[in-house]
Amino acid sequence: MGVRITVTVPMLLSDCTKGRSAFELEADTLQGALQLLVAEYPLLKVHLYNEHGEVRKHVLIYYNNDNIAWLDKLDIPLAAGDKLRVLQAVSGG
Amino acid sequence: MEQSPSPSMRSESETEPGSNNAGERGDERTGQRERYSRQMLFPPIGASGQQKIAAAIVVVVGMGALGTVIANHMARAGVGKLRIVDRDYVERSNLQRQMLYDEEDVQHLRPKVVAAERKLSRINSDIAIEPVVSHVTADNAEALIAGADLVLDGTDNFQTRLLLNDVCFKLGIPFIYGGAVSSNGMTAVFIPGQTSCLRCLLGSGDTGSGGDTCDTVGVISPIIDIIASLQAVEALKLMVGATSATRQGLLSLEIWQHQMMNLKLPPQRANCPTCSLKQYPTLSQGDNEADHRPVTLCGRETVQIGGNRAIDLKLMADRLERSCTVTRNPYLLKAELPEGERLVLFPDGRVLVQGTEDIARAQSLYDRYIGS
Ligand SMILES: [Zn+2]
Repeated sequence: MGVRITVTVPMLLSDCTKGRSAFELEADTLQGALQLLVAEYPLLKVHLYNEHGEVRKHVLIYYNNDNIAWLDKLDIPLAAGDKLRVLQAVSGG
Repeated sequence: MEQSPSPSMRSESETEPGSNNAGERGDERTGQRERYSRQMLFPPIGASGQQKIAAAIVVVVGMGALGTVIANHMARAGVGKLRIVDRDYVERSNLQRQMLYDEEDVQHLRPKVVAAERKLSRINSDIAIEPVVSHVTADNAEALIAGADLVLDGTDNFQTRLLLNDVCFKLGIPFIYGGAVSSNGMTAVFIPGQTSCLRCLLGSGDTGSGGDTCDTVGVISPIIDIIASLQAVEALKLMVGATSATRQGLLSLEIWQHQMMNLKLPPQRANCPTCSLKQYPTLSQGDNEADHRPVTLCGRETVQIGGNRAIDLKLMADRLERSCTVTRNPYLLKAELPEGERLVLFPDGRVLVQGTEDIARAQSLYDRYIGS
């Protein structure tokens, strides 16, 4: 039984997440949650990662208040109420 | 005493700029106090803050949706010297959100900065507004920004933002990023020596797409005003030296579904070529060439070519009039081609080929009408 966390994605990507831009996931670790996210929503994967499995440029994935890009490791145990937030750097103006 | 002179008194006492008449100076001071009274009543600004704002030099790059809102705030707030930079002219699709422009500007094909200067100088004739019709490139970016106290981002692409980011970090000038698309927006303040930079934020993954743009997924006007106004607030704080009030972090807003996130900015990356290694890659010779390569302006059915060789608009008008319908003003020339596309020529050498996104087709029309 995993820990329930909230995930938000930009409205522009909600096509890939059954029309929802906020939903819940259950996982034990951050790593697990990230894997589950793209397993449950395969359409999302191509928007978040390139063919080498790296997070795409201009995509920002925040675990609570930290971008996962600057975490040392991803096998962090989740706590109830944790937030996983997907953002895209906004270029329009 | 606090009332401004009536219109008739004013016209009688009007003298040439630079007059040294003491009474006139007194009137001017009274007028200034009145103009900025509400802002000076706000304690964090006050009279001393107002003086700092009046002494500030601010550059707004990009006079589209964000830029017009920012420039409006800066002009009304009394920024002493406001330089506005943009390469485009006003089009009808701009009017939905680019708040300084109107239908007359569209009819006259006015460059955005020219239209903006006309409007802003009617809002505040006491400040110096310097319009620059130009594409910001590695060649001119430093000159455009040098001497500024801060740079406000009104651009619509990351390529130009990374160039501004490089110049600002090289010159030690704060850079206030803002972006808006759809119902979504972001803003952050980058201060050389204090924060990481935009390049650190954007990450270094693949070079893939530059993100969604207003021309491809649209935008609603309120998100523009909100983000641009948040940029303007930070500009005011920086100008008056309210450093402890400066917003830290990356603010992300989604206004259709009401989400607001205040996130940390990245730590300064040890290998960041801008804020750590101080290499400023967009200013290096290698990237320089890229400025003149044909580019498709995404979602606008337009290819931009050239920019390295000045164009004499009068001469080109005479040539093109033989085969095309030509309209011209001092800033640009527009030619309707028999092929169906349109060419827009700028004196700095830039040419927009409108009506196609095919670079080869655009290049062939360019060669046919402008010459290679
Ligand atoms: Zn950096």
